Amino acid sequence: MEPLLVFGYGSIFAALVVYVLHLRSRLSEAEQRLEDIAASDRDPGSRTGSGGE
Amino acid sequence: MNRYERPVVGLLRRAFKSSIPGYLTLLLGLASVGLVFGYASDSMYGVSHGINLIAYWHVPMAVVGGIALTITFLGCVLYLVTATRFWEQLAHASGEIGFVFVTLTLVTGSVWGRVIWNTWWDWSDIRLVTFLFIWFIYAGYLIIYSGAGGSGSVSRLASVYGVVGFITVPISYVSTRLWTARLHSPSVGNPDTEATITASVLLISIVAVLLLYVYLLGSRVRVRELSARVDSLKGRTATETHKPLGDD
Repeated sequence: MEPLLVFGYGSIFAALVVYVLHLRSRLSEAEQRLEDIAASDRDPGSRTGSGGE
Repeated sequence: MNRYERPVVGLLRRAFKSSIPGYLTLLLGLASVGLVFGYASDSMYGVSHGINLIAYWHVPMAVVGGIALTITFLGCVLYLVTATRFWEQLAHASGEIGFVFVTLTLVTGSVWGRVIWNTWWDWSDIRLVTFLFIWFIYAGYLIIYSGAGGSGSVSRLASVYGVVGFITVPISYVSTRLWTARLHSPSVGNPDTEATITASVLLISIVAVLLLYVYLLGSRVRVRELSARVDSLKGRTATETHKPLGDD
């Protein structure tokens, strides 16, 4: 098979896989941060941490 | 958000949350790759060579890249007219994906040209040069945006840039008809050119890349929406925690 053809398709799929993984990681990170804030809203005592003792 | 926008935005948000485009992308993407390497013709413009198979993803990347940048233009216009954050998020997400597609179009085109035209790049070809302009214009758009940090004035500036910069997109796509192209010649509706590309495989690849764009757009818009919600909640929490201390 033509090496430049492999390079061409390889660069397309590598770039797309990296971009999809980057998006998925940012999505789960944002969801996690949202959950953390929602949890601290439900339990306001945890927001102040050791300061509340 | 006015009463005309609300149903459209609601519909788009539901579509972006759907997992159907992701599964369809996988299905059609695999079908496209299978057909490209197992069935499609590698003979184009009278030259039979394996590298011609790159056309089955080079052309869809260029077409869908153009669609993505058109969505960016529309999103920028709608944001400037309505000031609804959703349109700004849509415009930026589509611009980022369009930039990725334009980059991949340039890379695959260069690889194709190296074998068929015996050159990686030719500054005298109008399509190549105008397409590179698009790349630079949208690199600038993304750089301006990266400095916005949620600031409304920078978002508006980036949107004005997105509207003005869009002029390079139609110019590039019709450049081979407006000026004499040294290497690229218009193939759609041109009786003098016989691309002999396998149309059914090209069509499947275009649909696969279009679905991939929809999937990526949905994910990117959701990332921006969630980040905006986290920022606003953090701001609210900071105000709430600050209040009692102030009252003390």
